[in-house]
Amino acid sequence: MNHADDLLSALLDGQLTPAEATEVRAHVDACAECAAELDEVRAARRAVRELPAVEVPATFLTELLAGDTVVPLGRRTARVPAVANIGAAVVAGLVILVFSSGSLGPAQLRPEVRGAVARHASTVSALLGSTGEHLAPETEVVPTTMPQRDASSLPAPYAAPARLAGYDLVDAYRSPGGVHVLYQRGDYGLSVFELPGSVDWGALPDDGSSMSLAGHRAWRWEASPVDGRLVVFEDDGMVVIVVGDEPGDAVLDVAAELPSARAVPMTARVRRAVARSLELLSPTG
Amino acid sequence: MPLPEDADRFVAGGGPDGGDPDAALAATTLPQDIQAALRRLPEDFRVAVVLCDVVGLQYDEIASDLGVPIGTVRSRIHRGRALLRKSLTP
Repeated sequence: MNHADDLLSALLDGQLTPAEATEVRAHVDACAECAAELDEVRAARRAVRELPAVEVPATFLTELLAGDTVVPLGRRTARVPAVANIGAAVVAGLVILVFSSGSLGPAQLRPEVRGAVARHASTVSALLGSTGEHLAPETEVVPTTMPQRDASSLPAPYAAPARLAGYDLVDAYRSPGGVHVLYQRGDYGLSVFELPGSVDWGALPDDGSSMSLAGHRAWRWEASPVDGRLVVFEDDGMVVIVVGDEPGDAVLDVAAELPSARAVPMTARVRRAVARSLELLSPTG
Repeated sequence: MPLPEDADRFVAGGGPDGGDPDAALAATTLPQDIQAALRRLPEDFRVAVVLCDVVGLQYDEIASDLGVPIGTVRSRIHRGRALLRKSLTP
């Protein structure tokens, strides 16, 4: 065989068949260059695997997906070594999420529906200019315009479809606890807020109505005095709030398309988010 | 699937310089050095190395999660480790 190259790492990781492993070992015995390379990658592998364990925050998932700083709260596992203080907490938390009996489930949220409507209106006004009185929030709300992010760079759980029920993607932002993706159709704006967790349904205002949306439990509300329509639903560990100012059922149409656009298994989403977070959360330089 | 290699058994007598490369690396690097080296890796390599060596996923799981062929995963992990080792060498 030629030089073993990446078969060397596969050998260390037990990812070769017995026949392949035997062949690679025989080659290494006869090839000083590959023997040296094997030592090198083994040393790097061990260095990473033996990084010290760190404490895991109970709220790791929310903070991971929000891209915010994680504050360690207590030791949950000693299984996973550290990469960086933040990244390691995230990674250790991942193991708990995927393999635990659910004692560390996603946070239960009390969606601030009025705030979501106002934030939507404020963001639209700030980004697009005044496009109608119906967009003006009654109270001053800071729009989610900073830090702005390219929608294509969002972590996997927030992968934003470019088009939803006739609405086109305009921009994506981080917002408290999650992301805010803004869509537009003509003069109408529509916001999708996504954040990890589950809904505390009992905490929603009394003047809304429960409903089923594409198989998900949902809750619909019409804001007043701001002219906005809103629907909240859960989708596989994520809370989604869709706010729009277009009359009719636009928010429902968009919400109904969202779940199918995000049909990535939760475990895969979290794993990808963990991997992505190492870049997002690590200090630069 | 065979178990991961027993490094101590597999390389009798240590590395090419006659010493133990793992011990030598451990003696000269601190955890923050390793973290910094990881951060310097190109993203594709860093993700693959972390999913393998920190998260503990199998190659096929990483391939599935990232949506790339398993051969790509193998290459990224190996090249990532090789770059890490170079980065950690004094």
